[in-house]
Amino acid sequence: MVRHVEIQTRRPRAGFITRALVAAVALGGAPPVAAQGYDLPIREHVLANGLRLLVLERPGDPRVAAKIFTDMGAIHETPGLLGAAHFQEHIMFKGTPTLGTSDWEAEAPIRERMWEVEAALIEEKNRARNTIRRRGVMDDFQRAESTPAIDSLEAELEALEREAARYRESGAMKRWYQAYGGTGLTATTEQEYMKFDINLPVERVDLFLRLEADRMSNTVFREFEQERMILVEQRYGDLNNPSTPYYEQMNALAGVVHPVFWPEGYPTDFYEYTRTGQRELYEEYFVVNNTTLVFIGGVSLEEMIPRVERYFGWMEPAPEPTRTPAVEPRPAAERRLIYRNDDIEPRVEFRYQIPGVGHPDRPVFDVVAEAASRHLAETLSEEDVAGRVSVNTRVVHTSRFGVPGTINLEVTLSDESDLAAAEEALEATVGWLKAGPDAETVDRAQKTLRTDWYRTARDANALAFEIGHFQTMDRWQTLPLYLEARDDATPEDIARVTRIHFVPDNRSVGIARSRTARPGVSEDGS
Amino acid sequence: MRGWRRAAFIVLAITGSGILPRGGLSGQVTTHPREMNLPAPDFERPDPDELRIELDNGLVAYVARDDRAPLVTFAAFVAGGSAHGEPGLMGSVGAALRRGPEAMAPGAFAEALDRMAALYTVQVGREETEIVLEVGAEDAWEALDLFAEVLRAPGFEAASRGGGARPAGRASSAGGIDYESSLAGAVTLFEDALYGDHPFGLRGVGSVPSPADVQAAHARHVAPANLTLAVAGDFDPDEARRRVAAAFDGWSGPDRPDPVTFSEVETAEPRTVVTAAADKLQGWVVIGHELPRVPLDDEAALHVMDYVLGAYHLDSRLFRESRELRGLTNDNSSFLEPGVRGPGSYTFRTYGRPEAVRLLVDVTFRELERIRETVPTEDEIFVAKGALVDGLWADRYATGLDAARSYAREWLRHGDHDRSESYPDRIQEVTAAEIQEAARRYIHPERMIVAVVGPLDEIRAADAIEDEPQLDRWRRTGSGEGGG
Repeated sequence: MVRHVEIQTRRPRAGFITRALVAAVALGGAPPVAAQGYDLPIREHVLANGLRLLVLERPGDPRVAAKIFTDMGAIHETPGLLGAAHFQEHIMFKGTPTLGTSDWEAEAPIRERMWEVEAALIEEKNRARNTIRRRGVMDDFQRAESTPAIDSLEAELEALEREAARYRESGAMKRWYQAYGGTGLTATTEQEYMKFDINLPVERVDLFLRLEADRMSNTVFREFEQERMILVEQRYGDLNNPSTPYYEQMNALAGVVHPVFWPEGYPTDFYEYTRTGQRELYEEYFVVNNTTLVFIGGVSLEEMIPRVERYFGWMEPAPEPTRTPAVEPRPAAERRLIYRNDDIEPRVEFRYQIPGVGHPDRPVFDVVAEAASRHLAETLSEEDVAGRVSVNTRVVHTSRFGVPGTINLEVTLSDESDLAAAEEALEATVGWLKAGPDAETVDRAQKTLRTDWYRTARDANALAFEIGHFQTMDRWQTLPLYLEARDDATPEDIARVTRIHFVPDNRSVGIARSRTARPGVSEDGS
Repeated sequence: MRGWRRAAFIVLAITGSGILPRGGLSGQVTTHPREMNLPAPDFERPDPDELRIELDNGLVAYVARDDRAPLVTFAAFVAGGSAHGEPGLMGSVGAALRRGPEAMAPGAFAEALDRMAALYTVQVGREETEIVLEVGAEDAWEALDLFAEVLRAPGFEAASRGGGARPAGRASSAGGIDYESSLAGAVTLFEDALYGDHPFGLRGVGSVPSPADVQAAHARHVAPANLTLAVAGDFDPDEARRRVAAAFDGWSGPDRPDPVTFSEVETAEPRTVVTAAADKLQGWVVIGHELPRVPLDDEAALHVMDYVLGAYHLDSRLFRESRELRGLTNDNSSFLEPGVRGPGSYTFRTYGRPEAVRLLVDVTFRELERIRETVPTEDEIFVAKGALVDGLWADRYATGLDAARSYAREWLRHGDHDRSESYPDRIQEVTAAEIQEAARRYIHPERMIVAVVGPLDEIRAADAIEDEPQLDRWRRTGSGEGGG
């Protein structure tokens, strides 16, 4: 079945959000789409094999922002292999049989042999687990890390990699984008998605289709060990920020079950990635019916349909990939973290679990965050507490999810002796929200969100990201409704959602303080 | 493994030609990008003369419609920066501009910005200062008046009390250098070694100029003849031009001062190594030296050479050799940063785990030598030219906002747009021999400054071994546990 959905809206004018008419042209039973006032004339076409194509046309634009989203991310990882989804993104830059090799005929048999050797290595490690003691026991109780058979197989694998490396042509998945005017070449893996993106001259959009169809079908797992170390480097980069371990502890406190709260991999995890494990991720998730293409710029849906058909139409749909069954249970008690560390500034943080995108209340929390930030800053100023305020909905690097996440109200202090005062300010702000904030503050919060959105909408790359992100979180049609719901939120809505969610049992409190408490500061900062 | 994909892997493995049949397996298109006959972009940048207006007081503005979103951006580019005048002086002018118009009560400017949900930034560079105000279209003309007011008469008194000097260092800083961000620390370390007492190296630490001095510096530099404006957004351009003229009408100032040409700096043999210890999991390296003023005749070849060598975080020689082939770092890129009327710098920046740092430095120097000693390949030149013209150059003029900003900056520096207009042709004409010549003229490995910030003891203890990618060593020494 081919579906073709079209939404047309008029763009909003300054100071007045027009309620535009929406015309939905549905072929094959697509539901009509509700009215909205943001300028998001997104057009959709779904290929027979399930590939979703989304186009936002900007006639006359000389360039096009192109993105390919896969509905797969860190929430599909296994404990002990955290970071594997991100690692897969890196491996997918390593080329295919037609890009990245000087002689595929010679390279291919070596690669085939590597699969066999690695399978034998995995089997041997499983067989020898009592010898090598890699079963999660404490580090200082580990026995030998290896056996003669493991050593032999690892040596053979390394020799094969060296042999295959004679044919590698590094950088091929970037080089041709660069050569043909591609800018903004990036890739990102977060909890719920992986994407590759590029901005190209409109005349060259076929290059994106040719490379990305190849990447999602034929990636060759070259330079595996080098890329493993690059993941280590990126992780070290995060850990160089002394606040990272604090935030990871807070994530672990706020979420007990759901992988959305897991970190991006422990150093021990990086040892464990295998080609076999990565290929399982690749095979299951990088399938055409789990993929969305987004284009914004000087292209039309009518132009793009045959082009996308040409490059992706040959792919067969695959069984629907596995979705994580995890559901974060609602907390039954307040949780409290005392983080003792001399390298980060003292701080107090309240986190509350909130619904994910798709829930009607989720947009209200964007307004809550903006309003709370203002009130909290004012309260601290009135109390003469020197500190920085951040109210956000971030978990790891992402601020929105299709699953429940958290809203985080943080005060970072100049002086540790203000910890108790900062916690009181947080309590006061929560009380203010529950009472229903004043209309002027809500108006300003909404205007800030709206103007920030315009900055996103102006940038084709940023807008294409939001469209693809909403598709992976929920559905792209949610995006304009989400934006409108933020505009429509009232002080009463804020009071209602905070009364439901900002309750002690749903709260995780984080306190960061020095290892040696200063006089007058108790263990919990009070 | 899913059946059809497993079959695809096997077929790919045994395909005799090494390249799939044209039209591909099951219809897949596998044509090599160079054989796709991708059309040349039909891109023409907007005519700068159609965007430019000149007011009676000498102020030049580029006004461009940009209706991608209901926003309006006002940007001012000032031909004055921290190197002009005593250390800290222009920093204090920047502080005054941040504080808001003199006529507004303290806090009123911030309140107005908040009410408009505005973005407002002031960045004081060495030779130029950039002030940007961006608001929703409904607030455009109120914001324009505010922007004009703050440019013309900022609040000097309050700003001088607040000080234009660098903020006091945190616990992790020493000598005004913040090592919390190791890259910034390494760059600062490098620049201190490069510029020394040159005006580009002086920071106004602790200096607080008098309000009268700040006011005089403002009058000299932030004047209609000494700045250009970029105005872009969702408006009627005719109305915008009228509004801009009205907002800046009556603002008089001195003629544009003769441009200050700053003296060159030059490193000397042998290489200099400067270090700073930081308790981090990685070490950061900045290798480089001065970049003299680049004649127009050299510019294109230098840009192509630089792209081949170290295009930022993209496929380049440095990136391939240190990241892709050896797994030593997440990035190794070049930074070609010319001055406007003074020296610039040409640096190569990378970072990695302590045991990789010495090898990273070694690999970087090997590539610097190689690009001087050999001509680039045809593919490398093809990629660089396409990226510079169809990518980076086209991007600078792709939208109304981009074009207005680019033109305003060009006018401030050159008084015309000839250099940028001829850029695509000049790039296309560059030859392999000219690229090598540019490398020899602008890269001098024998007299570079090597700035290293990180866990110095661990960095020094590591062998510069060519054992790629060092995973085995990392694993068995257990150094990977440090990040846990």
